[in-house]
Amino acid sequence: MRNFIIRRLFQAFILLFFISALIYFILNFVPGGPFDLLRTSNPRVTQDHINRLNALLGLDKPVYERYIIWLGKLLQGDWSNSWTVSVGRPVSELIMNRLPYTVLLMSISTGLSIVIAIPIGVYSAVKQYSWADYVVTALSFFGAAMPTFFFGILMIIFFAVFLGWFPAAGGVASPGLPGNIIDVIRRVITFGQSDPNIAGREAEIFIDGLKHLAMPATVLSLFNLAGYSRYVRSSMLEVLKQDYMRTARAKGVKERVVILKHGLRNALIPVVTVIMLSIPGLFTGAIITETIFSWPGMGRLFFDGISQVDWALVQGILVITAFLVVICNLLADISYALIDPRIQYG
Amino acid sequence: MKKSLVLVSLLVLALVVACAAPTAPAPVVQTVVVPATVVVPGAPVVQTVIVAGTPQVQVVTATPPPPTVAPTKAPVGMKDTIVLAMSQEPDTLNPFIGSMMARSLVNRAVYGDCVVQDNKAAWVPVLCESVPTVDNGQAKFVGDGVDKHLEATFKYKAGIKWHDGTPLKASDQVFGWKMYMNAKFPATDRSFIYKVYDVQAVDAQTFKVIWMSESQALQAAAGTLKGNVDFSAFKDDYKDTYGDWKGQGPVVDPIFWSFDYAMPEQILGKLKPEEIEKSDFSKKIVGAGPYKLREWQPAQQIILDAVADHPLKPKIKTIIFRFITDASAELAALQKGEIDGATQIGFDTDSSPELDKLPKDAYRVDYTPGYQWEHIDLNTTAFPFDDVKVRQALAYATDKKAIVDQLYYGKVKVANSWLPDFHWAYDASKLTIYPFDVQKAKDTLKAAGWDCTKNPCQKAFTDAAGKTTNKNLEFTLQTTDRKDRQALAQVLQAQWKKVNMGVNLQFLYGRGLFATCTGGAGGPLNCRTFQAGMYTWLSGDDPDQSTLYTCKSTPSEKNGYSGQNYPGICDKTLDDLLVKGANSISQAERKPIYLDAQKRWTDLVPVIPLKANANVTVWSTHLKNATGVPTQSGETWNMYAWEWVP
Repeated sequence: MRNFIIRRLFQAFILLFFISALIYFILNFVPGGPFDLLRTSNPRVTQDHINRLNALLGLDKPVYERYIIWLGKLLQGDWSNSWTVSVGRPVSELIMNRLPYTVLLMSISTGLSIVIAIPIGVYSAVKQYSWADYVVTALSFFGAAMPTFFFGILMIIFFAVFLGWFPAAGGVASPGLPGNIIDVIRRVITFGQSDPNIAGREAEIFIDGLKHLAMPATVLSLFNLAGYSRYVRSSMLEVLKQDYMRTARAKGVKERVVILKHGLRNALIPVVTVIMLSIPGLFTGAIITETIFSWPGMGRLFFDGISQVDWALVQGILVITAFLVVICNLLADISYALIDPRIQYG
Repeated sequence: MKKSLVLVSLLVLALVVACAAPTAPAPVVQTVVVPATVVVPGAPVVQTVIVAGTPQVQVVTATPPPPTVAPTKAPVGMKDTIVLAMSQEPDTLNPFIGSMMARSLVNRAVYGDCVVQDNKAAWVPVLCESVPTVDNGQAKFVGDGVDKHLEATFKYKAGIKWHDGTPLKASDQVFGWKMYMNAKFPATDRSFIYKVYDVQAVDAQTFKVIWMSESQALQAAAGTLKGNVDFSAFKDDYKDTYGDWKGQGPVVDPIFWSFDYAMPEQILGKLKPEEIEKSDFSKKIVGAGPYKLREWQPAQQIILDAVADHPLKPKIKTIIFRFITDASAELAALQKGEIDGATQIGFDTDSSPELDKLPKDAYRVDYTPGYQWEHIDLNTTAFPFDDVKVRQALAYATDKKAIVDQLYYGKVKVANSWLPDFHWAYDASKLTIYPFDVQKAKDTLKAAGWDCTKNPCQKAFTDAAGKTTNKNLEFTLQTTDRKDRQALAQVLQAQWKKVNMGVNLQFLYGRGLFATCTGGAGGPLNCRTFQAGMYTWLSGDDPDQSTLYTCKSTPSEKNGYSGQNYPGICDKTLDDLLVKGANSISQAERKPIYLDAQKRWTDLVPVIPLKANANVTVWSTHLKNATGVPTQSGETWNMYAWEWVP
């Protein structure tokens, strides 16, 4: 196992190097630069102005030279500064500002989908071809097929405007509150040392945060729920056919124990792997859902970076994503071996 | 589901009852003098009055006002905090870096301006006491001959401070000008400030701006001009603009009164120019405006608080700019009453059918024509638009009214020039206007030698060797891949097909259309490889187009493909008029110049103007003095005067 991990880490390092080069060169070969549109908003801006601004960002150098400079800074922890989304601010600062919101939204939606997907997947497998199975299957396909932007807007219209249960404007907190749900969580984690401005109003802010979280988390969880429930179902169906399940029943074990202890535990092995592979999504966010609900997450930051040609920012996010995908793949392989003793790596 | 069914049923029932209920007869109201009676303050006085001719008794009550008592809390319906929606977050709050309208809207209230344009596009003083003009004597020409130059004096109002308590001083303008003219400062646009030779602080509140004389302009172009800034750092820019300035007189800018480069020296004086962009100043802006920044929550909102002792006396305590990225969510927030308004950064005319359904007693929607104009550039040096008659025919074949009515719900205006119809230098009677006329288009093409009995039209061309070939009247219209532009392009294609013009459409990724041209390769506009290109320009209150439609503004290999005269129109009459207009500061003198220039421009048709875009803003009916504006000042120009009336 140790040799396996070392070998994979070495491969990961090489892979990430090539990925970073690919990301950099693809982005920087896209026609147009961050300042080209200045001229449409101000005809007085000339090419010389744009050339001077490009030079301040180092964009007058050849691409390969810029890549080497960028990579060198990256390895020293300098992720460069944003070009256009938040002019001059470090990319790392922008990412760290948004990350807590993304992790909160994605972990709640993923957690919700897993908690719902497992029981319905199990039930669907145990009662295969029953009406419950068909309903679950239909809902799964519905959830997978429904575009998140459409469903999100429907939810806003129905739950926010029509019923008035949730805020329509989206965001993290209602205007006028001194903080938001992330501040409350941070205050709890630091035992009241941080965010003194929200003292005494933590409960109010937390509940308000939950109201803002409800709709985007529901939209995302429905989308993920579809996939997870199908995984659980198909994995469970495989396990139910195994001899040890028949043996357990023959020994007189209660059906519930057979399903949950003997069946589910084994069926979850591939599901755990799938969940491990979706960990990068906890950090990269969901572009469309965050845009619909004005959630200040990484997905929206990424979208803003692309639309405003902020390659410094987009590169940073893509490199982090690539890193997480590679590492989580490795962790998934390791976890597979740890959970299933039949798997061994040399 | 159950709850909603119940709600819907109740709604239907209420509707039925409302329709079925008999209408009561309208009461007759008559004023009756009530005889004196004992009055107890705070207690209603009831008088029964029989009004002749009506079947019912009209009861008149009068409640004398109770003794005056100081209110212990705000009246019902009063609001201390206003929430405005904005779909885009500013890239920075530093007013001298970046170019986003979102930044300008916030900074109008936070940073403050010496002078600004109001909702009628008139220039009004805000932090300054007056707008310096030649008429009021605050601007004058000084010196003779090649040393003649313009000087303008500005004076700040008394008592204005930066938000850190430091008084706003005239020397802050001197400091800001020097900072801006430092080549390491990442300024977006120096075309205005290049013309300034010096800025001097006359006293604590008064500063004088000295514009370049003819001799100084020529020295700057030669790289030899000496002064309080390093002009030689911009030698190439000066050479391009003033290289042949001899005999042109002093350098002026027609809106010289908009000079404003005040920077807080007590904060930025400690930083190098290249550090300012990355400094906290860009995020935690310290301004001198009527509102100060309380907090900027990234991707969420910007919160502003009124400066209590500001001379402008802002009335609303707190303003929140909330970033709502999706138009549907923004509309839902309005429907639910969660926000009090929407800035121009959010909705466009696509949303007008839904916006017009908002309750009229709750919201007012302003569709304010602005300075942005959608248009089609025609390459006047390439087939087929190298023939003015073909350009004119295309103009006749374009039904702008149908486009405005069908694609934009009639919320925008047809454009006939680079200036909007409310502009002081615009007069439709002085332009050549091309009304939609298919027959006239065909006749014009016929006069140009095109045989339009064929589809597409054909014409025989003889080359230098004497060889004759038939060419089809076909061209490519290039534009961006934006959804509304794609629809517009398809409508135009259908219209032009009626006169047998073959039109291909090409939708380029947004920046691809405007990509720079290097060595002849790059964006079609800058490389001038296009035939027809459609996009938006932003004109301004100043009608100057000398950087757009003059011969030397044509991008070419000679000038490194700089310049923005993409159509390549080169007409001496037009050139002379535009240069003359740019060098005058008298509106009375400039107006006839620009009327002649627009006439010439519309005769030559290097461009087909299509429509003037509208700024769409939404306001609560309780929010007084807030309106959409046509100018780049933005609707927050007078935020200090906004008032919430319950």
